[in-house]
Amino acid sequence: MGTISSSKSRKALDRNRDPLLKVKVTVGIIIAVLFIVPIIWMLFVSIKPNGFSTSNPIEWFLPPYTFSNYVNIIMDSLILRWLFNSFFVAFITTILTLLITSLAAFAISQMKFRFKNLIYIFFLLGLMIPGEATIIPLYEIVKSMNLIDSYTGLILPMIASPLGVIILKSFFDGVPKEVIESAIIDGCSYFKLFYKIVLPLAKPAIAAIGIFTFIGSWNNFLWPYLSILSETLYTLPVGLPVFNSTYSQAYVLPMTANAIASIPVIIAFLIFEKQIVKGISFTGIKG
Amino acid sequence: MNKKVWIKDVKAIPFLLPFFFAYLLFTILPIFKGLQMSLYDWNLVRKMDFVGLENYVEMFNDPYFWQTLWNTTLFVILTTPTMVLLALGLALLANLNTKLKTFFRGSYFLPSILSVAVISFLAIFMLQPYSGLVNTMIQALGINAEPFWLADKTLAWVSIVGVTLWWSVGFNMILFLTSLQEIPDTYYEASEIDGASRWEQFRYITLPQLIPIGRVIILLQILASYKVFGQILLITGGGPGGATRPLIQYIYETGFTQNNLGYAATMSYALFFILLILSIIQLKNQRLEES
Amino acid sequence: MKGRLSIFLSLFLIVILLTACSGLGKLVSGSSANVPEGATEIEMWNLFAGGDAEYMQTIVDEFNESQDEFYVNNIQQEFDEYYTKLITSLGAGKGPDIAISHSHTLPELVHLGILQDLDSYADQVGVQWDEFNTNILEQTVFDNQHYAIPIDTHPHIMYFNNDLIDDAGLLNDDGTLKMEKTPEGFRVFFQTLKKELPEENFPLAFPTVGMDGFRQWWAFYSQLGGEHIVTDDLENPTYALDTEKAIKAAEYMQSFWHEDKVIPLNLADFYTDFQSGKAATIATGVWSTGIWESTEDLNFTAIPLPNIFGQKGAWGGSHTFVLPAYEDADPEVQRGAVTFMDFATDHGAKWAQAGHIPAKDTVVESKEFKEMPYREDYAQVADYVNFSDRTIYYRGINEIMVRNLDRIWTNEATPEEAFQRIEKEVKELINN
Repeated sequence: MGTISSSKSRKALDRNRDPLLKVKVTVGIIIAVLFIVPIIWMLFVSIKPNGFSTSNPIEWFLPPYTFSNYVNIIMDSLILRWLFNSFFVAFITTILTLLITSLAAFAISQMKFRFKNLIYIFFLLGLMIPGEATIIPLYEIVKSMNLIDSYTGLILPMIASPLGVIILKSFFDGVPKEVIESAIIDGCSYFKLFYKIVLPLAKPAIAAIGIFTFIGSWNNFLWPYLSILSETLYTLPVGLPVFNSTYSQAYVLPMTANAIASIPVIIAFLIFEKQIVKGISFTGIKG
Repeated sequence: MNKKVWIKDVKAIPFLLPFFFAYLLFTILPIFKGLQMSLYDWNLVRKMDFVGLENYVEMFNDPYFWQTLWNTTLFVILTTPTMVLLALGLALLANLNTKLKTFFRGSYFLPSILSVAVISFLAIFMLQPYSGLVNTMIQALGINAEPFWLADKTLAWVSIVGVTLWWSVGFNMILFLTSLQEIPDTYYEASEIDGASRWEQFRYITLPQLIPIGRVIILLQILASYKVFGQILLITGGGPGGATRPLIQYIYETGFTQNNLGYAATMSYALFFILLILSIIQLKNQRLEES
Repeated sequence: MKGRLSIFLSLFLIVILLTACSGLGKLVSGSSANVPEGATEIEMWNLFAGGDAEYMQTIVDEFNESQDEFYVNNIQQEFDEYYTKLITSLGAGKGPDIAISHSHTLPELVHLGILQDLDSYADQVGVQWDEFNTNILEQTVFDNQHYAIPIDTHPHIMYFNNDLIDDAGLLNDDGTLKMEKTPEGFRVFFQTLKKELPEENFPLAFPTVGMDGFRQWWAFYSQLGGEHIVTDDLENPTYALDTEKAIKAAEYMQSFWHEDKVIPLNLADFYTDFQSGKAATIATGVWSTGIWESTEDLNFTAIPLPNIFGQKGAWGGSHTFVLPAYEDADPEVQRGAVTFMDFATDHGAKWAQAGHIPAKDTVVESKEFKEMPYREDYAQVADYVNFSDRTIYYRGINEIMVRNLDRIWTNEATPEEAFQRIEKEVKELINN
């Protein structure tokens, strides 16, 4: 990222030299508005009285407002349950992914054992295997383990992330040799070394992979769509279409459902924007 | 000495085993299981007869396999260049030195965090004929038209591509933005002294510096677009008349709706090889970057 | 970041805990229902998506109240993906104890071996097979074994908004329509409506894509004397479409959109259009009668689709109850399941409130049924419904038909082109 000291001079330069700055900013604003209008529209429709419909676009945004739709949907549908499922599955998936990838990355980075390179290359192969193309046999495997239609079946197939191992390994490689050696001389076991010394040093990488995994799981559609059969286990991406399919021209209730599904992530985004952006640029460039 | 090596191996096992096990079971095993399934007449209830290469023969003669593969490819062709250009444009806007910087970045990225189900239904409701927000806006502007965004073949593609761009351009924009911010200001300052114009600065400093990340984005985008499924299934259902149905939807329908997992596994193999080749190219490219 | 993360996480946890503790809605409803103590729970899946779901729920509630041995937990599934989900679940051994199936899907389900025959339980429970309409019952027997208990017949018919028809001057004094029952007369009727109605109204509410177009086409094809798409051979049917009649029926329908323009293209929700008094008529299934009845200020008439091509013909389906097969099935649960099926068909008059024609002749002849308005006007259609071909390929054929017919309605293909493709695709499907 640009250094702070020079950004001031940049600013000065821009002011002086870019005659089109105003035009560019206007274009930027127009696009930004276009990007968020659908989301704002969704929020406004969700607080209109149930059954409201209009052919005048402005009227969607005008009062009367009501929050009764929220109450109705929360009481009569499983949306909160799906919200919880999505969160729970994403959370556990993230934790497990971080746990097993960091353990494996630590072994490959810091430990000595036979066939290490071979094993690492074997893990690297996973980068080339697209999950979407093996989903049909995956279904059969999970079915034969009797895990179809369960949280476990939803989570376990998603945790072995080769990308995570690679990023963490390169991060662990950067831990100074002296630190490791002195710890070993002090009689530190590998597990202690792992969680007391190496893991804390890898915080940025862990945060980035964590955010990336969480968003990925939150938005995962294909696997829950195939493997979950019970309404009570649906995640939001699978449950919402089922809920919405009963309404095709009634706008208000589906929009309320969509809003309920979106408000927590919008809030989370507003709070963690910086971390999310960092996480994406960190993992995105690598993989 | 031998014993020591052995002890070291044992010590590594608890660290490696959890990942190794999950990886073997859910990433590697499906490849072989898929091969087996593709050789059988296999349905959701039970494995049936061994049919040899019959599923593969069927695939090569199946016009819907080719049509859906083409649809997916068309999606890749339509979204990749537009995505890269839009992402670049938005990154440049979000990199302007104004007070609105974070607002720009935030609003361009905001749709990306919404679930595919949400953006699809927003799209459906906005694009609905007779009462949708888009058509009523068009009419409010005094244009007397009633475009069928999702029922007309061409417009359906326009809609799908438009919605996909809106939804996922934020991710790529951030990658560009990060690279833009990494370009040392001294480059610009130096060129300033040489009297370069803004356009020349963009052409000879900014753009060349963005080429590496641009290449990464293009490849990531192609790879991701070949996996398109959710938003098309939810917005057009693959319609009108199968005109937007992507390969993964056809695989899903064959396996689950038509109850023919064997043939679905066969077509998955075709997708597997396409994606495999693409990711090898992508990894090679990355090596190139790193060296 | 740490501070914010913990604040956010604790906020989220509080919300989750609050909602979970107060048991809001169905948040924590695992196997949802409150099964009374001592009662055996029976899980039922249904696919009702029209106005009919609530009537089935009423029957279930009555059953649960009528005895305390069993408790039926009625779960509504999404219509579009219903069979995919049913087969997937039963394949994974995780399905319901009772399921609803259309009669035309039975051959496939029986062939897959995921249904249990009903005979031994039916004897125990005392199901009176002779009380059922024989035409419907025949659809449920395979190898001399009963695999399903039929609930109803549900043909596609037409509904008219009396006020709009009257405004257009097309209503006779006795409430019948000024319509000549010929292909031309039927078209003229709608053309006149288009001319006479105000601009915000339109003559016919009908979707441009999906199952309905197929059903309507099938009705006209049957009226023209067409009988099959493939022969009634369960596992090895041959292609038997009468292409000439098929094309004629499709051309006729296409003119409604593109020549006469009496149906607006791509209606988003054609039910609402009729319900709100925008459309003068609608062609859809009898399951909607209950919806129109409960709509305020909707003054309507129900009639069978006029037989305009000479022969009597209509599209119709039939809902049935089936018993999924499990290796470790609990006989007590299965007996309870059949007990409920028997109860529900005996109370078919309740089901008829949705609009369906009950499967038991004894119910159709009952006073309770005869006293209901509208149903009598179309109950006779059950006698001449042309059921879909009885084959394990029904769903595959149906998908091919709908997808290709849609291309005709949207004017992307001519009927000739569409039926060439249909022939090729259906032949490929059934030869595999």
